[in-house]
Amino acid sequence: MKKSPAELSDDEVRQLLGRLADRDERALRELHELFARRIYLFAVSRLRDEDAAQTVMIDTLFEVWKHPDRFRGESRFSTWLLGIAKYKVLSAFRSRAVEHEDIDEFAEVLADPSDGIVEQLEENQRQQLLRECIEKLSAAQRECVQLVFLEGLALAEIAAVQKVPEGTVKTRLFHGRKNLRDCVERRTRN
Amino acid sequence: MDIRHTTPLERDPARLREALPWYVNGTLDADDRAWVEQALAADDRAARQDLSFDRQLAEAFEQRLAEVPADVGWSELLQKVRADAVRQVAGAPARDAAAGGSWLQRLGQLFSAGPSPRLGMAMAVLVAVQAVAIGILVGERHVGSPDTVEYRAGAGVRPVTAIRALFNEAITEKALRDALAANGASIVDGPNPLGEYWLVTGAADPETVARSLRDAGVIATYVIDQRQAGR
Repeated sequence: MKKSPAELSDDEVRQLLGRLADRDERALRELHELFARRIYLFAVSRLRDEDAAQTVMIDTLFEVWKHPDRFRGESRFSTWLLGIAKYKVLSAFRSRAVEHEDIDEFAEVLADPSDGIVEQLEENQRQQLLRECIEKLSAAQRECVQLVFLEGLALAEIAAVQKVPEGTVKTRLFHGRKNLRDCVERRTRN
Repeated sequence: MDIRHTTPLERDPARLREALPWYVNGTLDADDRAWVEQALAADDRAARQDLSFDRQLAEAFEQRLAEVPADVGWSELLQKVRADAVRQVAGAPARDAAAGGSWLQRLGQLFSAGPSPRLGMAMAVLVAVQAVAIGILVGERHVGSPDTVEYRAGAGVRPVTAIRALFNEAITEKALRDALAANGASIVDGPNPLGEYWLVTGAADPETVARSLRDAGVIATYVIDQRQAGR
């Protein structure tokens, strides 16, 4: 079994699901190895709560274990999984108020970026700043950016996972990237 | 449009930067990909800076992913799966009970997960004989506790000797079902906060059955316990 979800062929997905239907715990282990960290990161990006994100991941994989036949092959397997996770994230999200700082709220007051500032950073500093700024994005933007750059989903797939029109995905991505650039540059100045 | 590919934009140079995320994540179709590469080669400095930023963004996410422990939530997931399997094994008679039938029929169905319904009924009879022998009257199943078997004594509730066991993590649902049937054991309650379940053993000696299950790798640990009225 290949260890990258992106490289999982349709046949391999079918075989994996067939073994899950046979209650093969090694298949569950493979499913976990392939997708658990990604689902967890997807959930934590939205919930900002590691325990709740772990619960979402477990519940998502458990649902696949219980009902592997529900995957109809109408989308990529990873997209289907993230759709289940998204539903569980929303359920968790509705059950409590999640507070976070949203850089959308002060994006307008940020200084215009100057060419060359970002390039002055060392690579590790840049990565650290980026990661800090990712955490400051709104939940919807962070999820969208993550689906693009980590999960490698196409526009239509992200629209399906986020349950929004494609235009909204484009808008979230545009503002997410802009906010990230602005955030990195602002922090560099400071 | 193939959902796995994104053709997000008209080929307007002003929108090149908007296409870059899809270029970086590999979901542009071949034509658009070639167009982006041509445009980048045409010395669009701002677009190349954006491309560099987007690639760093992808690296940042990969780093975050790499920091998540590979076994995140695995033991909890496995525990959930096995607890569900045990509940299914123990829950079958509960569903039957909800549909009616005598206690003896229900208990027979509890054992029917084994090799044959006839053997299951025979085991149920053995349990009934033992109950009579030790002076315990078996009453009707408690309506409010469908997953437990209740044992009542003539002068009130009496304890029943049971095995309190922690199932081996490696045991599968089928192996568990087979082993319980082969040893004439039934799950009557659990799990407790430690993940342990209570098993009754019909006519067989609980200690002997527990040792057999442990030696077969079905249970990891056990204690012989007194169980009252399904609790």
